[in-house]
Amino acid sequence: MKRLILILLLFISCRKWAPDDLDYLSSRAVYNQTVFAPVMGRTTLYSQIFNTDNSSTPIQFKILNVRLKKTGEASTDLDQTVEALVWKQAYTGYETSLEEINAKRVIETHPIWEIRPTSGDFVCWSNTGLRAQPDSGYLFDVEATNSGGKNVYKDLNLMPFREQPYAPYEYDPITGRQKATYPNTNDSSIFVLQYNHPGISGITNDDNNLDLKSDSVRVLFNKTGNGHSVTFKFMDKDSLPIDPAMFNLTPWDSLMHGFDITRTATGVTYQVAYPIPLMRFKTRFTNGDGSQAYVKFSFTRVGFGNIRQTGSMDLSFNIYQEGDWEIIFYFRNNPRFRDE
Amino acid sequence: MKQSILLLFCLLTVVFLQAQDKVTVTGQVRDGVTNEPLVGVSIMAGSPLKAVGITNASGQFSASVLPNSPLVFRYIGYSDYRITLKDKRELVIRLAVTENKLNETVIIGYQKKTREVTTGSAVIVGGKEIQDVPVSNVEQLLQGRVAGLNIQNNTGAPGARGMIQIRGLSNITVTGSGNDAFLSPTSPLYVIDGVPIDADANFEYGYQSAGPGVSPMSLIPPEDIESLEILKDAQATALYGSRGAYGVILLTTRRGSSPIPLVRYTGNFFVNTPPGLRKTIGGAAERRLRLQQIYGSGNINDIYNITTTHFLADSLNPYYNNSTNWQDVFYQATYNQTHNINISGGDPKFNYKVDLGYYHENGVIRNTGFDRYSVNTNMLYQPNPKFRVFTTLSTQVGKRNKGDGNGLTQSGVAANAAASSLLPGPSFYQSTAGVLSSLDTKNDNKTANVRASLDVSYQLLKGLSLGSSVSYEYASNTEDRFIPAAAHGDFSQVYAYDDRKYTLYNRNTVSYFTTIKDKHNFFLSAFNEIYSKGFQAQVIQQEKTPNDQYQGPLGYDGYASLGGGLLDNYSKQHIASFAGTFSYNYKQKYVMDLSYRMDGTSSSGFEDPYSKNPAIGVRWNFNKENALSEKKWLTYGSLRGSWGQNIVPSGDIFAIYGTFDPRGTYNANQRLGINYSLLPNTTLQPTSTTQYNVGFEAGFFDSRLEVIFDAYYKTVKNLLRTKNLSNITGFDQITTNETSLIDYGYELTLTFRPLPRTSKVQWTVSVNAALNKDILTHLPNGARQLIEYDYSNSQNTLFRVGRNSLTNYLLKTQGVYATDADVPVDPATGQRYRTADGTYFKAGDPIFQDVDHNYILDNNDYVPAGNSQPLVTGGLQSYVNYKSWSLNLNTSYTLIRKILNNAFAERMQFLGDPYNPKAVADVGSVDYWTKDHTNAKYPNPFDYTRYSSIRPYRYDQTLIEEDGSYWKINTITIAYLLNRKFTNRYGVNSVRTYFTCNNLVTFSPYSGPNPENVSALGRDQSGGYPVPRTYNFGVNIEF
Repeated sequence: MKRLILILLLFISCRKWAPDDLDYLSSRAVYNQTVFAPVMGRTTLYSQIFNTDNSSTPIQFKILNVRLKKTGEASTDLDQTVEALVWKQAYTGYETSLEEINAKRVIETHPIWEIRPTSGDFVCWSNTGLRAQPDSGYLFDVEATNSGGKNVYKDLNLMPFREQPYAPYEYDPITGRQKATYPNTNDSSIFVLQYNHPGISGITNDDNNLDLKSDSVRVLFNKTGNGHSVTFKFMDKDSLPIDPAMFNLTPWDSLMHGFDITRTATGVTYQVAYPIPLMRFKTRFTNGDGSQAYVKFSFTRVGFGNIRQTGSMDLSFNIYQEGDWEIIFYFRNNPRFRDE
Repeated sequence: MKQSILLLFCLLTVVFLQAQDKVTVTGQVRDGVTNEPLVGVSIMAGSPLKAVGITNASGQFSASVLPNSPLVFRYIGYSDYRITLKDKRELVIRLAVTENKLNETVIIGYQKKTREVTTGSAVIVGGKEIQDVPVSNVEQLLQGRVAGLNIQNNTGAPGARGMIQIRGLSNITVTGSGNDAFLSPTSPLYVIDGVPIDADANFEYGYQSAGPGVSPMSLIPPEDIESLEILKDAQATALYGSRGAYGVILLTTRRGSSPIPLVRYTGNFFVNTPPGLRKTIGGAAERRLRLQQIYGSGNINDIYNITTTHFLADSLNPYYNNSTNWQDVFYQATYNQTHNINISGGDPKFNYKVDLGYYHENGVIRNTGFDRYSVNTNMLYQPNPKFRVFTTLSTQVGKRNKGDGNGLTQSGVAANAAASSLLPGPSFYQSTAGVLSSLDTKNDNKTANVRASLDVSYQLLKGLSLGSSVSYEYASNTEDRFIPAAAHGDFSQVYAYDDRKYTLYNRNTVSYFTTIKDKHNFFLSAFNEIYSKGFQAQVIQQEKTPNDQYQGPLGYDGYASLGGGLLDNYSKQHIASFAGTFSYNYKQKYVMDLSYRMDGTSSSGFEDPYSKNPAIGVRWNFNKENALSEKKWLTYGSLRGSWGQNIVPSGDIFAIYGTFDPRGTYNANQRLGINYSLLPNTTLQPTSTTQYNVGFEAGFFDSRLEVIFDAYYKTVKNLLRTKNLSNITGFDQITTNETSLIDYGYELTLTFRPLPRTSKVQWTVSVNAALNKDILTHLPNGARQLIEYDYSNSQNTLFRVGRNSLTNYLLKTQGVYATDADVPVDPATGQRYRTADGTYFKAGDPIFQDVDHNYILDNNDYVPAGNSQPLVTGGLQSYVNYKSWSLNLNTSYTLIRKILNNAFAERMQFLGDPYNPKAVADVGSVDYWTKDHTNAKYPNPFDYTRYSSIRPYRYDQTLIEEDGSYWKINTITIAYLLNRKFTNRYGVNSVRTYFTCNNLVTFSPYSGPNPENVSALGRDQSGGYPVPRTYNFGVNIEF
């Protein structure tokens, strides 16, 4: 019995003499990025921005003390929640119906500006309810804790941009005015408005028999309703519709990851899931890195000297805001579809 | 002269005794088991006991005693034999070996004591227990025999040594990386016949050690060992303090004890067989598997590449149409022998011993082996009880063939044994350099060792004696290696290494012993100790000899000479120590030991070179209390406790004084500049351990059950670690003493003798277990955590205060993705879980835990995984003796330890590149993912196109971390003693034959070949030297 007590005592005391096995939280662990300027209306993830400096993971993160940068007064704007579509399964690009795509996403409620509790990543969920630039936005602190201690990172700055429903976007993100170039830097009254242009290759300008330049075609994004479709339209220099069938080499079935294709003489409409593209993932509907949808319209004709020419026009774009969108290709010089 | 003194002594006794009307008793004293006559047994009679006689060379005695007087026969190492004389006048006495741990004589602090008055924790292993197994290094035979002595025989390389630790981890310094990560050894200090030996010599630099790499322990023939004593706690090791912090092992060699010279021959003839090697797919099956894998990828370029990869496409070419068993090329069974002749004789006044040993072992890897030639002598001269001289002279030569390995590992062999079976076998024409280099590299590596010692003591007055001991050891290591041109990129290479090392040691002692009123015993002693050690090594390395026959001498040529010269591991060290010790006991019931020691070492910072090391120990033999002394069931029982501190010098002069570098000349003046890499630390301390120990010892039922229990708490302080400095200091790094750790644990040894003493069958079973936990308590700069990133295979080591000192820091593998849908998806972006380079995980890939839930596998996902150090170690021994037969069994076990199966991972990784002519592991036994078998343990090894990103069989994951527990039957020995009457007819005293099997079988859940054959950090290297199984036939002949 005596021995037992002795052993017991020794065991307890030994462990007591040793320091506790605590996590390590480096005082030099930092956020690599402290100013966040997401664009509202789309979900933005700030990933791998916390350098743990070899601290023990997971670390618990919390947003504290949200306030307006301008006045310093506390703000509850970041506590607002949004209904956000979140992914449950991976998008592959091979889904065969809208239902199949939507089955992979569910609606969840999230705070507008969310910190991931174990990684310190920030998610700005798609919303419109924050003070946008040029407002100086919000300041907030982040508390990082594990059993080894607590670090507080002060004065991280969130200054979102107003919503840009699509990209490429020809309006200034802060002022909302159309972007322009000023040929004479001393005179702001002379300017040229900027438009989006598609890529053009091998198309002949019907007016002057020369190659059609990219800036002869403007791309106009036009929201017409609150459905979920995309319509491609083509207009000639007189704003008259061009029959999409003129682009006779275009694989309309696989142009977009859309369904229920409606082809008329004025446009081609797809029922699609938003945003476009659904995520940054390379599929046959996207550009090389999967960041933008990619469409290419082409046609073939017999050119000068009986040489067959293939003309094509392509565009990489995003549409973030759900709706019935028209993408209009406005030819300011008519392309030549006819054979020579 | 001797005889006449003896005669005189006898006569006087007789005269003296006859005066009291005595009778003469004659007879013989023999060993109860071996029947050998015992020489020098004291015969005592009367009350109080007085010596009345002593047995002569043939064990005969004659004594005059009072009739009806009780007689006691007393002999060291044997139980007292009591007999009351009746009418008998002719006696044959058979003494039984003491099987009572209390009566063992232990040596602590250079003094002999009985265990009864020992306050420290010490264990004795008799030489006989370890002598029937031929091994190059006697240390490995201690495995499993002593609780708290953790020995892992992790290399089978002849002449090398495994890992040895007393009471857990004492160092966390890891050098090298990847498979070659090497935990600095913390071997106990060996003291051979009073002379301290550095057993870690030649191993300080890990796997990169130059020279033959022969451990000093490999130079000791086991046949010459009388006993080994393992001192574990701080009190026991206190007086070996200047290097005793990691424990002390005392090795006593045989002494002469027979007036008639005894010649003892021991011969062993043994076969080493390579253990089970790794299963490999060979020939057509290998090609088929590779092609299937490539076609499976569906990539047209890869399929096209088959045609340009000849060993895949050209199946009808005899060059590629093979099924070579590459492992067989390198591994072999070998036949080996040892011979040992031990000549000894003398009596307590003058005795001598000469031991001649020869050991020859060929390694199971071809072109490796170890030969040992040794001559060890000692001589004791004690003309009168006051004056005593003991000298030893040992010379040993170890000759070691390492092939092209480095002594511990054979990475060249591993690389080539893992070649594709489709390639043709080795031949000179093929010029497969690796094979030629392994098999044709010529080695001539020698370690020569000379050790001489002289120990003189003189008793000035009764109880007051002076003693002095001097020893000198000189060791020279040379390595000559010639690599033929064909094995070395068409240019031969000559490499010559030599070093020399000396140790001069001196100890001077004054001691005083007195007893007051037969109750109070005092012992007081003081001594000083001086070490002087030096080491210097140099290398010559030349290339491009004219041809392979011309191997030297070589001239100098700036182009062909590839460096060398003096190596930078020069060292010279001095230690001066002063120590005092005081012991007191009351009727041997209450015992107290105090000691104090000051050690100054030249490797401590000069601001405070002396470290002070006190120790205290107490013991209470409670069986001597009146209440218990009469109890029959209790043979003995005691409680003891101790506390003390010890050091090990660990720094070097460069860390203390800094370094000046020659910087060429300026204006014809030699320039010297400060080396800014290491900032001198003038306050450097030696590593010190402080240890508390509580022990309990008891014997029950006439010692048929014996228990020894120890609990300890050990602090290892002042561990050296080099830390980086801020660049404003101007220096890069500094070595400091800021690291420390603790070990605590329990040790239990139980000994059973189930059959009564009188039984014809004698059976002893001994079980021991030791539990040791280590906890890191301090890191440089007060850091809580330090990660040692491994840049060769990412098997990082985590040092975190408060947990076990060496933690694997790995990715946690939680299974295998059965389907693509199982891969988690980032809800915000829809991105699947992916690697840092953006490759998505998919079905068949391992599930690496995403610790921070950011859906990216990165450095933040490493988790503290297993402990590479074992938690429980121990062993079980059984010894059965029936008439002339005996059966000896020794087993050992290690429990709860994590091993990283790198060899398996490496072989599976080979599957990740079907174009690489490497061996294809036999995946048939591996439970891996396929489309039809989704619920698998291991990931899909064949998806080679994504292999470089996913790396499913990467080293840094817990998938390959396995439990390394094992229970090993180390040795079984069956011995038979030939009938003495028969052998005596031929003038032979005794003949004993035995059959031994060493490293018989290991039971383990581990999937690799041998859970013990891993590095000290628990990594199963493919380059590890397999531990062979040995079958031995041996014979002992005594003339």
